[in-house]
Amino acid sequence: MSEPRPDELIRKMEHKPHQKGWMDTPVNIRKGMYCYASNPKSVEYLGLPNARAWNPLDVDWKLPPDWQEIIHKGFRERLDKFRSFKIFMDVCVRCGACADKCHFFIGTGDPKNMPVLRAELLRSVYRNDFTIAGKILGKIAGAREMTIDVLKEWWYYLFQCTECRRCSVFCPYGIDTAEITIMGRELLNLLGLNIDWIATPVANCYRTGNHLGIQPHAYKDMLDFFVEDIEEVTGVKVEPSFNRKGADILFITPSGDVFADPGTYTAMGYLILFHYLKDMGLDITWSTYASEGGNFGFFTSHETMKRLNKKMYAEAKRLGVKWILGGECGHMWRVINQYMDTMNGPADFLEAPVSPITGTKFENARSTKMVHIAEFMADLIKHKKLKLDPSRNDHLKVTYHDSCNPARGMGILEEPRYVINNVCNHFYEMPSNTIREQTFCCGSGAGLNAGENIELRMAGGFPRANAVKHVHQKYGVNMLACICAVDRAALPPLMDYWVPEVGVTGLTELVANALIVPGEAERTTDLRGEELQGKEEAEDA
Amino acid sequence: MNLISFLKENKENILKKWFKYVSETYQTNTSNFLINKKDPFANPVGSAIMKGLSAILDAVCGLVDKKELPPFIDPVIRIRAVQSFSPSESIGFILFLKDIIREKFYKERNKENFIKELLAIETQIDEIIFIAFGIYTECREKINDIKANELKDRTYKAFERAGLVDKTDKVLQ
Repeated sequence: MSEPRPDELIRKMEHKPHQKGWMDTPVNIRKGMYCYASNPKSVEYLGLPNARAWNPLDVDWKLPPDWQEIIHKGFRERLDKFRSFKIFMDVCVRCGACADKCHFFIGTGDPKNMPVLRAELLRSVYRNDFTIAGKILGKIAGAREMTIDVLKEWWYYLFQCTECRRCSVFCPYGIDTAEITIMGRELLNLLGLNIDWIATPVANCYRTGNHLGIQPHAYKDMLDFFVEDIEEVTGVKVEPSFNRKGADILFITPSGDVFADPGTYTAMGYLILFHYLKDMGLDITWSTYASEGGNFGFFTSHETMKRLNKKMYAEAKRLGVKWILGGECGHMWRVINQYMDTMNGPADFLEAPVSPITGTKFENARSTKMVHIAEFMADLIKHKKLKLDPSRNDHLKVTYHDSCNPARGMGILEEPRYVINNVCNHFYEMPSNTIREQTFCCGSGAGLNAGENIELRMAGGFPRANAVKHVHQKYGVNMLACICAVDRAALPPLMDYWVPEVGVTGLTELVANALIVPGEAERTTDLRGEELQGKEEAEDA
Repeated sequence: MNLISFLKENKENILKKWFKYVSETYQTNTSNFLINKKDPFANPVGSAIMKGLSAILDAVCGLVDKKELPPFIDPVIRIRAVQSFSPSESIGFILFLKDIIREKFYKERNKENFIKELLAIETQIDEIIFIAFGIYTECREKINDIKANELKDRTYKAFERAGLVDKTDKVLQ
């Protein structure tokens, strides 16, 4: 064996990946990036097709023999039914404006997470099946046949999109790539290809009214427990009412606020706020049946979304309320604001919402009859109806994460900031290209907040975490506020991985900390039992 | 001029080449984005890579103590630990620096003390790889912790506080 020459000794390490065009790069379903397949019992419960046990890592996905025809027909039906879908399939000029705007592309570095390429997954089949150019020119025209590999690619990447719509903000044609993901997931559901983090919460919600499948008495038990906790912190006993017919307002919030930390503190905030407003004329009830604002049906199909949304309005009708107040949720608000009116609405049996405290008529909600709690609280503060002591939040340096759906789906941008600025003395904004309309997603929305895809979530959440880290290092920010239950569930582990010193809170928790409730004892801790600044020293002295 | 001085003098060129090599561990579309997008919030991965590489090069040149390196190289390794890289690929990008230095100073190989200086530098790089390995391991342990505890922290604790779970961890309904 001859000795290596010096130039051989210094040869470079191989570092370039195998480069091929996107169509020729086969899908590699990688652990940590995908969610487990739907439980057949949940699929069956909803009456959705092809309920069976299957594993994404298996070669055989146990599809019906005519699966290609099912997809083709389903595609055709949706092109005919949804004009937006047809336009989105045709109109893209591949300008690339959206390409680098997706948090999953930025975080995973996988080009197929560029919104334009994710959409091309469907468009390539659309061209092949429904356009003359695609039929004649094939690959040259960007067309390709629907094969099992293409189907697997659809499944893998359509469940790496949180439907956050950041990309659509930058599209000169206004293509809503989330709508393309929504359609793609609908088509996959025709073959029973859902993920369990969506399918089982949907089935639970359909059966018991909330994602976890918690029954009415346990829902009430949990709120009763909050009542005790509130009394310990404030000395005030709040008295929520449940399923009360004839109340003016029905309150609906995501079940995450009732059953998952740190959302539970936001739920305590609602209870304190409603107690405070009771003597001022607020007549509100909780429902143990409409016990879920979230709607994972939205991530399954239009029909499933409609079925779950209907339950909220059915409960409002049953109780005979005038209107609905909605808690801090994400996609609940996109469903209400963008789909409800033509899906289950208009809710003519309800009244256009008017605040019983300030008399403000919420014109924006005159058709859906549902008001966002951030608007409701901002209106109260604007009319000086809340007595607040922001210094009670002085132990917090707060930044605000615009939760995607309320921000981009309904334009709630100013209200949360107005509220925070009135209840906190230390508020710092993240960089402008990471907030408001350009907010970066938590990386776990649209049903992806599972445990098995944690690498995807941590990579996808990196752009958000990176901006939080910036304000943490620059201003000492230690609390990330948001108005979405998925955020409250997803951001704590994201912070744990990227910026461990930062906690996560809902908006109403901050309000309740600052709210001076008549008859309360002097507060020494916040709702979490954390010592208030100045109180500890005073006690020690 | 010794090798360290050469490195200091050529820092920008070396960094540029090294950054290009690291970017090329991604697919073409991605590497173009990493190289061309300069805003640290629009391109946090590219920004993290650049800061990490720059700090490593400073450490190799003796401008920064290696003990100061972790905050700079942590973000690069933290992101690669959850991207589609093998463990060796997650930290192996540091070794590209060896290639670049050998290539760049190949012509100088017959100078006095060259091998001695080169070995000293490469030993530094090897030590940095150990630091990176430690960070990578911490990242993966954290991922496993989150996987194991997330549901417990989120829901079980809330149920437990409310007395809705009994001692056998069964949800009471």
